[in-house]
Amino acid sequence: MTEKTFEEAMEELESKVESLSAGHLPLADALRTYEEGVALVRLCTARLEEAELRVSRLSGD
Amino acid sequence: MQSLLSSPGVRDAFSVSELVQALRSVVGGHPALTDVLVRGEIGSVSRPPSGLAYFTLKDAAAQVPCVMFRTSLAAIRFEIRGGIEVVVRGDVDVFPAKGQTQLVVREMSPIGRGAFWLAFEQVRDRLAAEGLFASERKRALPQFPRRIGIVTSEAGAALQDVLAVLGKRYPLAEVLVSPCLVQGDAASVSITCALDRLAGRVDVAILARGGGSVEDLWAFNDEGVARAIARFPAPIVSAVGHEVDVTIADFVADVRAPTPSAAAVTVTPEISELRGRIGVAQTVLDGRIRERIAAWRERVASLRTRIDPEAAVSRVRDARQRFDGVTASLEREWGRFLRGLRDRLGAIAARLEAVSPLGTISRGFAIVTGEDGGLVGSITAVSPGDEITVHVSDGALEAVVEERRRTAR
Repeated sequence: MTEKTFEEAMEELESKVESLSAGHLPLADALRTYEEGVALVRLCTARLEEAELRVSRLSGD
Repeated sequence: MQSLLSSPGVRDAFSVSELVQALRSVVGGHPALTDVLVRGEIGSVSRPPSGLAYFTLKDAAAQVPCVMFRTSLAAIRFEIRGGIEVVVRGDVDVFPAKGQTQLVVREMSPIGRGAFWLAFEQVRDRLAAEGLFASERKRALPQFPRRIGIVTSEAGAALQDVLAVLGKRYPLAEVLVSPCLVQGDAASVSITCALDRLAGRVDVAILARGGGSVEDLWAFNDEGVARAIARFPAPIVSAVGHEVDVTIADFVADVRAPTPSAAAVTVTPEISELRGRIGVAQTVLDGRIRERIAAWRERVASLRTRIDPEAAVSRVRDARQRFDGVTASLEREWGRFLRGLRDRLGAIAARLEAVSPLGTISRGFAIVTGEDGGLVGSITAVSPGDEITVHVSDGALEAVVEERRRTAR
């Protein structure tokens, strides 16, 4: 979970929101999806707060 | 007339080389034919692999063969093509191998439109014909770029502008700077190399340069640069010069931004937008799970009412009532049946009564039997002195016949 990039987490989060919105999930799955979604929200927020632009330079030839 | 073939004639004849050499000595370096300016239309053009350019320069009545050497060619930015009106500067010379007078062109400039514009048009038309600007070639920018490439001068303000915007908007990204020259003759090759070095390492790239003159921006009109952009494996956003400057690079790039800062905005999502999206996701998650739980609760409640013990009791009661009803009607029917039987029995008994001789007696009549027990129905059945029995309703009278008397009719 900690290895997930922000982008992956964000995409996963949005897909969880979608599947939860679509209904049809059994209750246990819905609850699990929700919990995972909340964890992803936390992860994404944390990533945003920690983020710092990393700049590197490609050397010429 | 002396014969051409007489010995002095053959001896004194020029060799071809001598003649051409003589011609060359007259023409070459002649002040009137050196460093001349000539205007005309380019006719046929030949570009052999040697790198020279052979072409004719003509007007309505005449034409002159021209040659242009590599060093001079490198200085002109457009392609020498038939039909272009040009003014050239050069020297008249004789090309010995063909014995032909020719103009060795050192400079060439198109008449009317500027050389830059002409070159620009030529490259643009050629690449457009190849479909390099086609809208279906344009690639969509990634929503969340992980690695952003920047191809620009390390010294330029464009780089600082781009980095500032990226840092503010989307610090999640990793930036790879691929430095290059952005002006001068070596710039186009430098840009091409910088792009190729970056290929495969980024999700999106920005090709940027600050404002400048047409000459300053020239490298971005280079065909090689255009092709490097076209073959770059990720989408490219170009931002060259100011908004009014349009370069070939802009045409080939997937997206054109008016300035380097705008390019940085184009390739990144806004971090506050992202926070907003996360917030929305959280809200929707909360809302949905609450809805789902409420829905489940409702279902459970509805199921519970269906298995309610009271309801079960009342169902039993209903059943019993229905059973009781059936029983009651059964009893009623049974009673009616019995009554019917009884009635029929009574009727039969009454009829039996009616036909019974005992019935006759009960109404006050008597029955007489003889000594043999037989019914006495006539006076002739007995004689005076016979003993007879008179049956009445409550017993019998023993009597003796005294007299027989016939009933008068």
